[in-house]
Amino acid sequence: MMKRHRLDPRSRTGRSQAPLIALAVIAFVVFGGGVLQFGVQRALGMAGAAVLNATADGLLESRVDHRLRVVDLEIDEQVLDSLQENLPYSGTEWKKAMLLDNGIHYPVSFRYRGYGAIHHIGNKKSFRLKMKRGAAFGPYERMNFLNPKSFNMINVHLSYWIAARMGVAVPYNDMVFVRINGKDHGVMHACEQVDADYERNRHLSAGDVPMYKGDFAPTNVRDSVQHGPLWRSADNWQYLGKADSIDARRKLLGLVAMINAKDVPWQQRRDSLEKIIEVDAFLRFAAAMKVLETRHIDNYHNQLLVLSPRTGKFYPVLWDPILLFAPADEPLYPMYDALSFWLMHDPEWRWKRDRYIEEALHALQDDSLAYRYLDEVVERIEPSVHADRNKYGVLSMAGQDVDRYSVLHWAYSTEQLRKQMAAHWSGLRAELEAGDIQVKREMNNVLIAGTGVPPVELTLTGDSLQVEANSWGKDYRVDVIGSDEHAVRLRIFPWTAQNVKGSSYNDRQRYELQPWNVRLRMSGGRLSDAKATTYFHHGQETAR
Amino acid sequence: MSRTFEHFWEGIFHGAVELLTLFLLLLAALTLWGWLNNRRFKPSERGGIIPWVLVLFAFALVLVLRAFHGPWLGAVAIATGLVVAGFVGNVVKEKALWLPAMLLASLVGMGYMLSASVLVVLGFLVLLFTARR
Repeated sequence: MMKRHRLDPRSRTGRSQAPLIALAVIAFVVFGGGVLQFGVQRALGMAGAAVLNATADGLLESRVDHRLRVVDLEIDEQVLDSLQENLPYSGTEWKKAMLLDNGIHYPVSFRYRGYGAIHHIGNKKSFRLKMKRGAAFGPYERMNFLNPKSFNMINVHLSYWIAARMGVAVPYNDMVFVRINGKDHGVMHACEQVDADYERNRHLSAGDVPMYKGDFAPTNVRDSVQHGPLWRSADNWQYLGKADSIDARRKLLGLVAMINAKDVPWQQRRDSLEKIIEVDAFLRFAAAMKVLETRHIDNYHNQLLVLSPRTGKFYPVLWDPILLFAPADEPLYPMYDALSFWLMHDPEWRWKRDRYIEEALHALQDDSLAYRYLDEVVERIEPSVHADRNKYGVLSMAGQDVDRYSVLHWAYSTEQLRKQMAAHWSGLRAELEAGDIQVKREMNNVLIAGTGVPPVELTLTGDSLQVEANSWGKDYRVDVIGSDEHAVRLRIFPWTAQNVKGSSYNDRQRYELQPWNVRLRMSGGRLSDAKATTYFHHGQETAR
Repeated sequence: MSRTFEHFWEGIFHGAVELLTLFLLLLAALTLWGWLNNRRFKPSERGGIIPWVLVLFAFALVLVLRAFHGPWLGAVAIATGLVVAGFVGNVVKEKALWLPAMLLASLVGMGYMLSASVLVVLGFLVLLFTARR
């Protein structure tokens, strides 16, 4: 007969098992409740982070010698409490604080900043300091201290560094370790608040310059103020600073009108745009957007325009880029706003952007500059990350799941960043180089057909060749880029991109390259050989 | 469900999993020590493998240390825990475990997991080699 003593209260085994069963039930209820409330994926993400944070982070006990700048802030705890009353709305009032830097106390003003959950949920809240020009962070008068958005913490900092290398205007930024009232607040991303003093801070001008900010309304009024796409109206742009705005306003109105105008011949639109914006700066910006594959700058927010006093034209300042934020299947020519629609419309401008991308990939990937800088930053940040017990980040695809994560998340995310950078840049290069060309000779005509990123470069060899070039074809343009007695080199820009309207987040409005077909007529001479290639494609096709 | 309630449940879930993790770690360590300590006694005198009262008391100290920060509050909590452990340890069977268990709970409560792990291993070795069969 079977013994039935397992849960018998008089049995020792039963006594010791009952609490274990109770514990298992509690664990089941906690995790089951989480799964029911948040779904399996979110619950697993949060539970994993909680377990690792409670266990792994405590294993790092060694004394920390920070390699990052340490920002020591003193502020009345009651003031902090009042600011945190109803974040993000309650944190926007400036309060007095003291910044300790290299043994010197600097009076500063403090407020919380940021609307997204990452900035105000959890214990590592983003804030902004306002200080005198000659204070600790001089010449910068307003500095943001941001809770890093990604687990690796360096994503945005690395993005700014890459963009700066590509010749894009970026704010001053660095990684720092923050203490508030003697307690560790943790690793943060310090970033200049870009304002009308942007040029003055860089000794490019004596005072404020006209600057427009294209963004959502300030945090404390955001819910009640809505605006449409930035380029729909000049009124959607906020003017910053004290510089005279008359000329800037006139130019912005002109720019908005030119972007929205219908039935304007392309050449006229192009000339007009060139008079108002620094096209080269915008193309570098577009190239950086593609290299970074960020979607965090769009038709609604994170746009900054400076009216350069040197050229009288607008140039963009990169703001809040997130490296590899976009889905994996992002198109080669995405339209991130209405202005980029026109920038990517012109094949020459596209080519220029593509060349900036290629140059950047050569430096960042082939010469490993990006990876070396990544290693350098990781080495600098590592002791501070180990010391940071206050790591708060978004734990799932739901943006509001902000909670503590562990040092293992940081390490894994850093390695993933490296791999994803390499994969994205290799893929981007492959896209630029992909193509197929066929060259045929038919009597006095040369036919070139193919696919891939233009321009096409064609070398015709023969005697006394005369080509009907420098003319605009219906679907292409031809320029002679070199000629002698026996050869003519031509650059052909097929108008191959077709605007494809997006239908969802992952199906973004874009230009798609179409197969091209170019017919060149020889009006004189004897052709012996024709070689064609695309600019980024290293193979060549020949016809005799 | 409103955003506020989402945050509320997230906070509870994340915190509950953290506490459960710490409880399980403490339970595992003290079970190991309890099992080794039991080897001191004759089979007929042995108690349960898991010293539940000790586990609960140690976990309470962990909770207090996590809830109250600051050098004085922490020191008072640990001192109180040790004094109580000293008294209780005199009247229970697993008296050898109470003081080290309080120290272990203090380390876990303050987030010194490496030190706690080392203490667990040392306790394991000491109990392994000193317990009478």
